[in-house]
Amino acid sequence: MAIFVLLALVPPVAHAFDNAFLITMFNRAVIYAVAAVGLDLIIGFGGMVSFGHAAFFGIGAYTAGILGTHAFDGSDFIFGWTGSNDAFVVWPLAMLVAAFFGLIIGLISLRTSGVYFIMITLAFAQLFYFFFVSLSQYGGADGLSLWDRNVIPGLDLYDRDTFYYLCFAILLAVWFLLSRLVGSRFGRVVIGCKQNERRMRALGYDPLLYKLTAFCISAAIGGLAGALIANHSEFVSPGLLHWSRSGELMVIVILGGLGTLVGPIYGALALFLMEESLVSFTEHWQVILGPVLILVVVFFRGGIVGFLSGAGKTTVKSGGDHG
Amino acid sequence: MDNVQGRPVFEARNLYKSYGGLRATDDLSIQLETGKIHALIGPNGAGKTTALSQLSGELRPDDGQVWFDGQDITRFSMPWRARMGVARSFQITAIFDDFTVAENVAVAVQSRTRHHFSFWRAVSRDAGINQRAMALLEQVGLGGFASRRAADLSHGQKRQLEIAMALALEPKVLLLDEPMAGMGPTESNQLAELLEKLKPDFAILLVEHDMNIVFRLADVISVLVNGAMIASGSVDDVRDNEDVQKAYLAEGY
Repeated sequence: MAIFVLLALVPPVAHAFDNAFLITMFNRAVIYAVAAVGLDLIIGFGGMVSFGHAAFFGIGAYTAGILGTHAFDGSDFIFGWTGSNDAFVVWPLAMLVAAFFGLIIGLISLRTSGVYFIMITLAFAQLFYFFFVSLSQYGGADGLSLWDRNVIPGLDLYDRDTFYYLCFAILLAVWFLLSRLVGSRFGRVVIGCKQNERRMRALGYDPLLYKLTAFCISAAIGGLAGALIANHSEFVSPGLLHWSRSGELMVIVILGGLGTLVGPIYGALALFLMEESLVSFTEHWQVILGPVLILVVVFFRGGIVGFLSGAGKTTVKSGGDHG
Repeated sequence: MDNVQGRPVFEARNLYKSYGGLRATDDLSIQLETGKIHALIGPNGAGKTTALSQLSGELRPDDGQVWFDGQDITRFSMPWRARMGVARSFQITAIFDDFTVAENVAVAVQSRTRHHFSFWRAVSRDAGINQRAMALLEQVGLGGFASRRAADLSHGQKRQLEIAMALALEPKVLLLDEPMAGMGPTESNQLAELLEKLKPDFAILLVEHDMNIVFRLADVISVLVNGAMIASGSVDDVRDNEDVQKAYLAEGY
C-alpha cells in the first residue's frame, strides 16, 4: 500500500519544494481515483463495462453546483427549499441522486450485455450531457460557478492541505469499504455473475438484482467524486459528463489494473503525472498516452498493480487457458 | 424429505414448445419420483435439452404445466425453482473458472442461506459455508482439490464439481443434462457409482447418451423422438419396444 503513504506525503513535500500547485494537481488525481475505484467495482469485479460513468460524476457535480447556487442567492430550488452549502447535506445528496439515476440507467442497460451494454451506458451519458448543455438556467454549455465551497464545521475547505487530506480520507474510506465488499457474500455473488450468469441463475440467484445493486453503489461513489471535483475546481460544466471523460475514467482503471481496487489509484496518478509532464512538450499529449495504453494492455494485463506485484505474467498465462 | 416414495414429487404435464414450424416439445408428460432415476433418451435433436430447460425454468413452455411438491411452478423462473429445490446441471460444463474448487461449491452453499446482501463480513472466513462446501467436495470425491483453481481441474472432475454444486442447493429434484458427456470409462463409472449412492434421497432426471449407463442406472426410461415421447417404461419394456428400436436404437447407438 505504498501508494497511500505516497499520497499522504504530497502536501509536506509540495511545501518543502515551495510548490503548492502540486497539491492541487494531486488533489485532482485523488478525486478522479475515488470515481475510478468505484468504476472498478463494476468493470473489474462485476464485468459491467460502463462507458457512461461520467454521467454520475457530472450529476454529483451539478448537485453541488445547483444547490450551492440557490444557497448563495437565496432563491427557491424546489418546494421552497433554497439549496444548501452544508457538505453533510450536499455530498450525501449527490450520492443519492447519482444512485437514483444509476438505478434507472442500470435497470435498462443491464438487460443487455457486452457491446450493447457499453453502447447503452454511453448513450445515457450523452443524454445527460446534452441535458446539462441545454439547461440554460444553470449556465448551459458555459457551466456554472460555485460561489462557495461546501461547509464542514471546524474545517476550512479553502485550505489546500485540509481539502486535500479530506479527499484523501474519502478515497481511503471508499477503497477500504469496497475492499470489504468484494470479499463479502454480496461480492462473491457479483463476481460469480461476471463469470457465469447462467450458472448463477441455476444456483438460485437473480443476477440483475446483484448487478444493479453494485451498479448503484458505483454510481453513488461517482456522484460523491463529482461533488468533490465541483468543490475542487469551484466550477461545474457539461464537460464533466462528456463521453471522453467516461473514457478517461476507464483508462485510469485499465492503466492501474482491473479488478484490483487499488489499481485505479495508481492509474489516476499515472494519468495525471503523464498529462502534466507531457503537456509541456505538446498539447496533443494523448498521442503519447495512446501507445502507452496499448503497451500496458498488451504486455501488462494486470496494469500497473500487476506489473508492480510481478503478477503481470501470470495474468496473461491464466488468461490464455480460458475456454 | 417429506415425500412418500412412489408419489411423483416433480411432474410435467403436456408440455408444448415450438420454434417457428419446429415442434421441439410435443405433448411431453413426465413424472419424477424420489428414490428413482428417470432416464430421458433420444437421438440427437430429439429435444432433450429443450425439455430439460422447461423443467428447470430456463425456458417457458408454450402450453402445459410443471408441478413440484404439489404446486404449479410453470411460471416460476429458474432461480426461483432452484431456491425451491429443483437443481440442474448443464450439458456443457458450467463452473466458475476463476474461483477455487471450494469457492465454486461455497457460492452454491451460500444460495441456501439467502443472506446475500451482506457487504462487510469476509465470506472466505465463513465457517458454516466452508465446512458444508468441504463436506460436499468429500462426497463427490474432490476433497483433495479444494484450493485448486476450478479451471485447472480435469474434465471429469469439473463434472463432479457440478454435481457438488447442485447438491449444495439441498434439492429434492436433480435434473442432470448428460453428466457423463466427454468422460472416459473410469470417470463415468465413478460418477455412476455416485449417482447410485445419491439415488435414495432425490428424484433424478438423467439425460444421457451412453446406453450402458442408462441401462445400469435407470428405473424408468422415456424415449423422446422429434419432441414427442414414443415410449416410457422399465428398462426391459423400452429395450424390447419395437418403435424404440426402429426410431432410436437402430441408428447405431
